[in-house]
Amino acid sequence: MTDQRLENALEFANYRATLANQKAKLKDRCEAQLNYAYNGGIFHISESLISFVDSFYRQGKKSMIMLDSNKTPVDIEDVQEFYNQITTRWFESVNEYHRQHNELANKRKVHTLID
Amino acid sequence: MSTGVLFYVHNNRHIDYGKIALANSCLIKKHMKNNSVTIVTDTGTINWLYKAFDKDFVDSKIDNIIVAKRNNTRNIRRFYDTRYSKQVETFYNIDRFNSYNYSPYDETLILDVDYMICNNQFDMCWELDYDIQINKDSKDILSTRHYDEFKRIGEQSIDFYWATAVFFRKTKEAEILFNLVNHVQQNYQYYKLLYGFEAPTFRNDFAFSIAIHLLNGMGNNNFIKPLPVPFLQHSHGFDDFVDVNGTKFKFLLEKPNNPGDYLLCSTEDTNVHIMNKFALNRLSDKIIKENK
Repeated sequence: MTDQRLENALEFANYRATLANQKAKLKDRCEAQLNYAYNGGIFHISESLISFVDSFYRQGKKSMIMLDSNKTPVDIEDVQEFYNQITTRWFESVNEYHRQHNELANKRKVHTLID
Repeated sequence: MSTGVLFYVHNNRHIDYGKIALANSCLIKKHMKNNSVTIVTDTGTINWLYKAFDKDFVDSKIDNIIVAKRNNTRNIRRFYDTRYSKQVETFYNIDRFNSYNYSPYDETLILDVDYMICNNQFDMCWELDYDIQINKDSKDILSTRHYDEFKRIGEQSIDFYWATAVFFRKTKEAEILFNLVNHVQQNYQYYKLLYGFEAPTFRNDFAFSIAIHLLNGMGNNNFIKPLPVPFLQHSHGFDDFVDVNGTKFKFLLEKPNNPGDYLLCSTEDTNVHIMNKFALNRLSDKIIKENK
């Protein structure tokens, strides 16, 4: 390979490494935002948590006991309110993650990735 | 219930921890709801801070200043400013075991001054029913870099807990924990041998890790709960912190397989533990200016 071609390859490798790290930062940020405190307990909002709560909400349950992220039982006094809050937080965080992820994908230079 | 954040701030000859604490207090006031700040400091540090900044401004950002005698135990540590520069300096931040007595709050979040707060996630600490919260999970700001030293305190020893952020309510259990940390600190050489780790310098992280292990009944149960953040993000002394724009921080991260070569990285609205204190010192003025 000529020096120029090697330089291009290294530049591209550097771009890919920076892009991968920036994507990881976005994922970390989204993950952190999905932690949610309710009635003294802490919940990590996930698809399964939303589905689980939704199934009881649809059955007309008004309140229920759930295990939080530390396996401590927490009284969910108002299932509807809890469901609304976790879904709102979920969409806010994931939509923002999606928006920023797409922005990153369109950037082709290292310096633009971090601007 | 009174709530707030507690910092330990003791300057050494090279690092102006007072300025870093002021910068972080500006960020806390801006981002957190529970934003009362108390610093435990010494006469030299606070005089220097008042000399460098307007007293009214400092007092508007730092609510309580507790002046304590600086512990002059010889506790030497290497401070890196990237791989190209390092200083051997005294590490005076060894009075953390006194937090239970120093804290003017019923519910306190102790933070390292170099753990820069850029969001409100720690506000959740006060909403949880857990009286002591401390994390053992952390993530390197460079996702491909992993160091075992932050997993366990020794190769075959117990889990590593980060004293960088500790939440406690003034309960009997919290008092016992801080007494235990003090006991471990007083008998550090013994515990070093017992737990099989090499650390010439006293580290708060190790003292808390051992105290938690003892408090857990020498086991790994979950009596002590994690903070409401999934992990602490940290950079290294080998990395450079190069720019700040609001809550957007820019870093040069050293590549693990190519020391001395760097990767650009930026974080936004993310709390970051910045271990390059020199770089943080250089940018503290800008953080203060932008977050006044």
